[in-house]
Amino acid sequence: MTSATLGVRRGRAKGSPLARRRRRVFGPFLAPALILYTILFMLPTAYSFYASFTSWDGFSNPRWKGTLNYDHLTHDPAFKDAFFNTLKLLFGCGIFLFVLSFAFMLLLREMKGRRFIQGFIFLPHIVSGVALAAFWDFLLNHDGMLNKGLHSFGLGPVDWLKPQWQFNAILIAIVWINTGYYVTILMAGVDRIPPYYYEEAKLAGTNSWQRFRHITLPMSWDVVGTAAVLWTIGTVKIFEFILAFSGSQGNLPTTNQWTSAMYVYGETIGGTSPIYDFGRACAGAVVTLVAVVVVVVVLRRVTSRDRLEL
Amino acid sequence: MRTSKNVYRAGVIAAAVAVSAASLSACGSSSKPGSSAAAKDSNSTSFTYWSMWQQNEPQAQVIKKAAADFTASTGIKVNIQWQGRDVITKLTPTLRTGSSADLVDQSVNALGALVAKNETADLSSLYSTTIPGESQTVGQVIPDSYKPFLNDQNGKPFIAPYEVSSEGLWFDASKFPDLAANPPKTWADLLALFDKARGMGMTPLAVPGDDKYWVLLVLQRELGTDGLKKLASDKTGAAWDDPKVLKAAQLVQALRDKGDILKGYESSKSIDEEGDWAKGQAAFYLSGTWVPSEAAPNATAGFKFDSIQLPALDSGNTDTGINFFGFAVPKSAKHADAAEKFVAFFMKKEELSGISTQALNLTPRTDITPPAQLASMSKALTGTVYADQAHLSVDYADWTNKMLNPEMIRLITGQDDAAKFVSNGKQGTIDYWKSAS
Repeated sequence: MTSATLGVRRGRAKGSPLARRRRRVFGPFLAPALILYTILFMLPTAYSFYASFTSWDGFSNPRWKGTLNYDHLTHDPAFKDAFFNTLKLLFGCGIFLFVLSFAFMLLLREMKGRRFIQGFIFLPHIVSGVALAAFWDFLLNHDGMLNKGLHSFGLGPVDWLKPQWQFNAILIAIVWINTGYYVTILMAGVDRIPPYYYEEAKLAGTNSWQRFRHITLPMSWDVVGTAAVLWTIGTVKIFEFILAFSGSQGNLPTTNQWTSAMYVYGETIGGTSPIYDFGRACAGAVVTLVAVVVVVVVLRRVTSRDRLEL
Repeated sequence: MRTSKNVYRAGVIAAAVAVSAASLSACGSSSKPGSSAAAKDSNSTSFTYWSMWQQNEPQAQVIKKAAADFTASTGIKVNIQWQGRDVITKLTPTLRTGSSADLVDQSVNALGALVAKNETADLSSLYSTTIPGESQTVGQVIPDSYKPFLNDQNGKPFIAPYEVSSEGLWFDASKFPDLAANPPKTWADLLALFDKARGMGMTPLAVPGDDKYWVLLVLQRELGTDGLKKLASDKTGAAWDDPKVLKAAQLVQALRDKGDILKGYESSKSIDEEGDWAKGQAAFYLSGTWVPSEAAPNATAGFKFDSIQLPALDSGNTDTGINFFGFAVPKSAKHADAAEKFVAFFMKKEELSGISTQALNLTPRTDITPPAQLASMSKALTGTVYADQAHLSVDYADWTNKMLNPEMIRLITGQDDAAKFVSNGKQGTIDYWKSAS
């Protein structure tokens, strides 16, 4: 019995001739992508970790300076702005975005012509950030469409883009740009829930909220978790919209509108007289990366449930 | 089940790290140190020029024509690449292995980072080269008053300027025909001028919400150029205690309080305000030499661009800020000889005139007639000049971006009053230097 089991195991380990041949070609097929990925991403990333402990202008040899760049970050108000703005995007925008996406998803589920509306709200996601920034400015500036609309009702004008509000305008725009994308992801998750669950629940006399709470949410939970991870990663990369919306004529936006990505740009090659402080920028990027990893791990723990097997 | 979930989770985390790393890897570089002391040619038959212009810009047309004339005259081929405004940031990574370009151009400010790293060639020999077909050298056609701003830290010229820019208070000379000849001499005169504009049914000023000129230039008039610089360099922040700083801030605040600025300006950008001003909604607009060419498409019929300088304040300083766009040769350029020959050729009156006639900008040569709309500006630049914005954006770029610019915007848009501007400026400077050290 034992030897027979072993025999089976050994046989499985070797697999069929086809499986063995398949395994042999994995290496050659995987290697080019792996090599490119290592050269283009992993090595530069590792180098960035090293550079964050140096004084480096991007073209001379880096000089070791220990943790001074990190010390600097704790005192640098621009980095604090950038980091907290990124958190505002991540959590503030994130919560609003997911509530809105769920609302749209629930509304659209039962609706005729939902594909069209879904496509319509997805549209901003495929348009370039620069074009969206121009449109947002056109909509909200003092002589913009919104104020013209208000004027026809005898209201306004309102300074939507006054400096104190400008970052909020960015937050709203980011929600607007991303809602369609997350509705699509959530919809895909919800679509695979078999309709008979809902039918049965209806027969049992449940209301919409109960059906959402006890069927939709638990059965699409893994999709929500993945979407939350995607959103976390996405927020760190939000950059060109802010630059195009708040910067002007090659100048950087003011630091109260910086995000982590903008900080890296501002400390290196951004603005009309770039600073080329790659060491400090790398330190900022490392701190952000660590924060993202922490958030992602926590998110995965919080949203961890057994996956729905249908 | 558990294992597959862990693998799945690990995969998602790995993906998260990888994607975040993509933004990180922007910092990294796989370039290896190479020999920057490349072999130099002395009889190059071609060279590579990386330009700050886009191909369709008027400056590019002027340079293209000069390059064709140069090749016809010397047989040296010019390989032009239109890199755009971020030419220097594109050039920087190539310097490790020997510059990819033999010639580049940008403003003194943008070239500042290369100069600070000693990566630009000494152009002394170019300055003493006689311009082909003329009797003067390159150095002789550049006014002496400009030269202190064209030198590197070793006192050697690093840039051959072909375009000069400055700032002024722009107006429509068809509405204020005598103003250029009789500019306001005091701040009271200036305010009287604004009242006159209001009497003519115009809001006196168009100011963008991210304006830096008003506060900076009024500070320069109050403190003088060195005094302005001290605001950045004095690590104790004591320079901000000078009552003149508060006075300058109060003058700017008063413009806002009095309602001299177009409504809704706090949320506008320069391009909006420039357009509103050109359409005649406001009488004056403080900005740079580029205004006439940029605002022309929006200008009302009969608009005549002209400018004045701000009047003297307590320091008595009436200098004009000056900025330069010009050619620089990277130290590791292989065909510097050919590049310098081209620069000398471009400085010919015949070629350089295109910058004035076609690109409608000022040139450093005083024997080239400036475009009519820049005549007053050109005249102002024949007096004493100072490095534009006191060179703060180069010498103290980080402080300017993070401390001064946001505070200036807070003041001009009324988020802070003058007293708060001073206290924030002082504390911000102290904090900045503490964190920078």
